[in-house]
Amino acid sequence: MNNQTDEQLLNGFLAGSLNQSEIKDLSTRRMTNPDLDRKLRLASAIDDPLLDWQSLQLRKKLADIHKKEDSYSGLFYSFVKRKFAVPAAAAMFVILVGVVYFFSNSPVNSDNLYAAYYEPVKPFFMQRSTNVVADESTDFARGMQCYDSKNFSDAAKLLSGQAGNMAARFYLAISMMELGDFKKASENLSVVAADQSNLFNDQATWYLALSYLKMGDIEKTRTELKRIASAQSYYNDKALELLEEL
Amino acid sequence: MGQGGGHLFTKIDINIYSVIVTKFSTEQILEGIVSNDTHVLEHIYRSFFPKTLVYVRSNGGTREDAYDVFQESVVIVLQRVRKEPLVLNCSFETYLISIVKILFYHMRLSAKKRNAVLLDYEKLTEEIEEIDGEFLETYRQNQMSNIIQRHFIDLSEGCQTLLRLYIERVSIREIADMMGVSEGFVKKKKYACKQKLIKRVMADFGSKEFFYE
Repeated sequence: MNNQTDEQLLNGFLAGSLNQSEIKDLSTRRMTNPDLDRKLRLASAIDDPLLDWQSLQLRKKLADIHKKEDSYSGLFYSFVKRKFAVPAAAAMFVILVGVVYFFSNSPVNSDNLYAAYYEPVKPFFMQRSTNVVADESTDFARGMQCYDSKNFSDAAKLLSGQAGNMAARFYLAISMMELGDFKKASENLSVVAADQSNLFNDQATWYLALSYLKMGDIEKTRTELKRIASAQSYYNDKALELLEEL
Repeated sequence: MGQGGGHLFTKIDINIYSVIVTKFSTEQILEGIVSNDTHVLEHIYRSFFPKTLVYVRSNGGTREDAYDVFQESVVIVLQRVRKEPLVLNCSFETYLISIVKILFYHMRLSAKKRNAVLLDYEKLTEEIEEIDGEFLETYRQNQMSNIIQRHFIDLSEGCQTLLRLYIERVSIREIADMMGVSEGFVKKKKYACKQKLIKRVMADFGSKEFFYE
């Protein structure tokens, strides 16, 4: 039996990187560990339901309809309730004035918060030499090499001419953040965050929130953080935490 | 907002929708579900979601619970129709709402909500078996797939695309080329997406038994 934990073996199984002896070890362990057995069964069974394109499409369409109708109903509801809204609005106004007064006297220190939450993005492409994009003569590959060596100025130059490549745009935006140009960073991050078909949109939304934070635009920061919080992204916990601090 | 406000809203919803919906026959509805027809699905939503909402709320559930149950019910109808032709001896509404009741019972039971036991499960199963003797079997067979699918569509579009391409046996190299990223990145992202999906499915299931063998 090897020294790996159940979790490590399970992760290896998911990544498809176990050798024969590890697979054998995992099979032995699952016989005495019902929880591990359950996880393995799930891991093995998870692909098939995703091939049922018809059910998935139906779910997506129903979700779209629900979202659309929900927003319509929300508007209608607020219209119906308007007659009750005047006294409530008056009370809210008084509270808001108090809140604004309070915050204007104790402003959010966005620089400190930014410093606490900003972490440089690792260049995935550069972790192993074999993973470098195939054609190293392209601006993208060279831009990523500059990014990897923290030469953000040259990275930005090389990555800036590739509007359609969301990976290039994302790393361009992070380079701009590193260079202190948060306006340009936010412009590029907005595009990446809005494009739902790329792999960087979760990250882009988080860094967009941070860019707004650095620029002192607390309202926009909150909007992006709420978007992350409601989308159950990888940055969910961090977004909720930062929202509380704001 | 109190309970009264919620009920007012629901009644208004029903009245509006009943005025603007187009009528479809049961056959058209079943065909529309199979072909993912937008008009039919909108009709189903507008006609039956408000009723689902009333039922779920009156049994202690939320609007979110109501939508979850409603979506699952329509998907199970699809799975049921795909299995073999379905001839109903009642209206589509009666059929769907019976499914809603069964699913809501299971949802409350798995969440260990006290009022789940107040619902008469025997009566619910008798009702549905009278309408469709195959329903419970279809539900049982697809229970796990449905949970996986529900969490899958909550992943980011990027994760969904990546996992779909991978499952459809598109090579890592091809996916990397398509997305303009490296193979290493695709592998890492695929692993992360799958982990995220498994974690959510596991959390949803909790102590419930996954597999019916």
